[in-house]
Amino acid sequence: VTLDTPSRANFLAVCLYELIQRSSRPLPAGTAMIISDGMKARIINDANPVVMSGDGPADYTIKAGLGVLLKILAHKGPLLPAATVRVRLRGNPLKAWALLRAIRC
Amino acid sequence: MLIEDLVGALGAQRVDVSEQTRWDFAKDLTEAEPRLPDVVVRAGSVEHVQTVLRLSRQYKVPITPVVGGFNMSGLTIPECGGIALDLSAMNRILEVNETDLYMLIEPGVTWEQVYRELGERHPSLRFGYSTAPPTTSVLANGLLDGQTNLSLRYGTTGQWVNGVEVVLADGEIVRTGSGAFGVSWCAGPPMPNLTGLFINAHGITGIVTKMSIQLFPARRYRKRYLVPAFDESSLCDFMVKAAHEELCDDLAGLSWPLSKMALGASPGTSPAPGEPVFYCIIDLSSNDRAELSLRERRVRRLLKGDAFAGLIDAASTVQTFPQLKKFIELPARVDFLLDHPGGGMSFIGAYGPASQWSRAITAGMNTMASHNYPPVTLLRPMQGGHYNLIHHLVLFNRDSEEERNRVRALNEKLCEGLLDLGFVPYKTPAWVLRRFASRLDPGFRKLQHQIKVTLDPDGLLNPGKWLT
Repeated sequence: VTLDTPSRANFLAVCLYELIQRSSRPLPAGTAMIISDGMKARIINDANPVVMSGDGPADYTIKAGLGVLLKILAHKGPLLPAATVRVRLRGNPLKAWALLRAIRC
Repeated sequence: MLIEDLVGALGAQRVDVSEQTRWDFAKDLTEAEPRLPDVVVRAGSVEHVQTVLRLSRQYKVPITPVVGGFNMSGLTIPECGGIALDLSAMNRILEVNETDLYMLIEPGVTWEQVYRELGERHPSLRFGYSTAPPTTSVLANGLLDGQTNLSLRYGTTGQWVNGVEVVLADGEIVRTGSGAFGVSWCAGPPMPNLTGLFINAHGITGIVTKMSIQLFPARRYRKRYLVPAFDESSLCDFMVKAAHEELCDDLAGLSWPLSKMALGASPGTSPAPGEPVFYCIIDLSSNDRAELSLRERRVRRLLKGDAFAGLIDAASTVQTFPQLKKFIELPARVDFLLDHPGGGMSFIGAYGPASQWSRAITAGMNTMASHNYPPVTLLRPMQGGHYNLIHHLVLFNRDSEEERNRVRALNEKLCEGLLDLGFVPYKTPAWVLRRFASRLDPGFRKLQHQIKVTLDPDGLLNPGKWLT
C-alpha cells in the first residue's frame, strides 16, 4: 500500500495509511471513501493499493467523526455494538464493515 | 594557570580540555553559531561551583553554565570561550514536602526523575511537564519561565519558584524566598522577590544551585480529549472562554503539521482541503466524578458550532496509534521532531495578550508558510488566560549554512510580528534583544545594567547574553 503525495495528505489519510500498513488482514476489494470531521480520504484496493486524500468515485462510503472512528478501531469486542448509529454507510455495508474490521488495531 | 588550578581544586576527572568534549558544549540545536569553550568543568557540589567561580574571577575567564544538553536559543553557547560549567551531575531531589507542596531540587534534576519520584513515592502530588525531552532540566526551565501542561492553571514554571540558592560571581552563596531564613522553602512571600534577579537572567547574575519549586495536589479523576478545529480564530475564542471559566487543567492547540509528523508523515506547506488547522488538547480533572462530568458538559457546550469536530478520547487514540503515546501522554517526548536530516530545531515562543492572540497566530503561520516552512505551532492560554502562548517551531538542516540563514530571516520576521502585537519572546536569544533593543524602555535597560554591574562587575557570567 502506498500513500499518495505524502506531503499533501490530510490527517485522515495519514491515519488510514498507518493502520493499513500495520494490518495483516486483507482489505475488501474496490474503492472505499471515508469521510470524517470535514476530511475525505479514499482507499483504492486494486492491483496497486493506494490511500488518497480528497474526493473521488467510490464503491462504498463510511462517514463517522474521527473520535467515533478511533473508538471503533480501538474497541476490542464485537464491531457492531461499538458503532451504534453514529456511523453512516453508503454502498455495500458488508464491505464497509470488512474494511473497519481489517484496519482495527 | 587556570587549568592546573582547576585540576588541583576539583581533580582531573572533573576538568576536560579534549576537543570532542569542548565541541559538545560549543553548540545547540538551533541556527546559532557554535563557539568553543576552552575547558569543560563538571561540578558535583555547591562547593565546586564556588571554587570555579572564584578561579574564574581570579583569572578573568568567562563562565557559561550548562545542564541538560538540549539547549535552545543559543543561551548556553559560550560566546567568549572560557569555562563551560556542566551542572548535570548535581541531580538530587533534596526534599519533597507533601504538606507544604514544594520540592527542593538541584540543577541536574530532570523531568523524568521528578515524574518517577512523584509517581512512586508521592502519588498525592502532581507537577507540570514541559514538551522538552524528559532528560532535560526542570530547574533550567524554571529559570527560563518555560511552560508546561499545568501552565493554564498555574502560569510559567518561573512563577512556581519559591526561592533559590545561588552562587554569585565572587563565590558567595545567597538564598532567596522563605529559604533565606533557613527553616522552610515553602514560599516566596513575604520576602522581597530577589529570586526575580535570577529568573530570565540567562545566567548573567549568578549560578543557581538549588531551587524550591511548587508542587500541586493530584486529582483522582482525569480525562484527556483532542478536538479538531477548523479555524484558529474560533479555537482562540473557545480557549479564552474555557480559560476564563477555569474549566480545564490544560488547553493546548497543536497545528496540523505536528499531528501528522507525530504519525510519521512528512508535513506539507499547507493543510489539505477540509483538514482541521489545529488539534486542541483538553485536560480535565477533579476529585469528584460528577464534577468532572459537569466540566466536560460545559466544554462540549462551548465547542458547539461548525468550527469544531467532536471530542476525541485521547485514550482510544493512543490505543489505535501507539506511536502517539509519547506525544499525548506525559512527560511528552518529541524525538520525532529531531528525526530529519541535519537535526536542527529552532523556535520563537512568546507570551502576550489574549486580545491579539488570533491575529498574531494567523500572522505567524502565514509568515512561516511564506518562508516555505510548515507552520508547526503550539498555543496555550496561560495562568487562567492572563496571558497566552504562541510557539512557532522550525525544523531545518543545521549542516547547511544557507538554511541556517533562512531560519535566521524567518525568526527575525516572526519576532518582529509578535512584538508589534505585544507578544514578548521567552528564552529570548541574545540576537533578539540586540535587534530590538531600541524598543526596550531605557529605564529598564539602565536598571538591568546597574544590577549586572553590581552582581558581576567583571562581566564574566555568561557574557553575550541579554544586552551584556
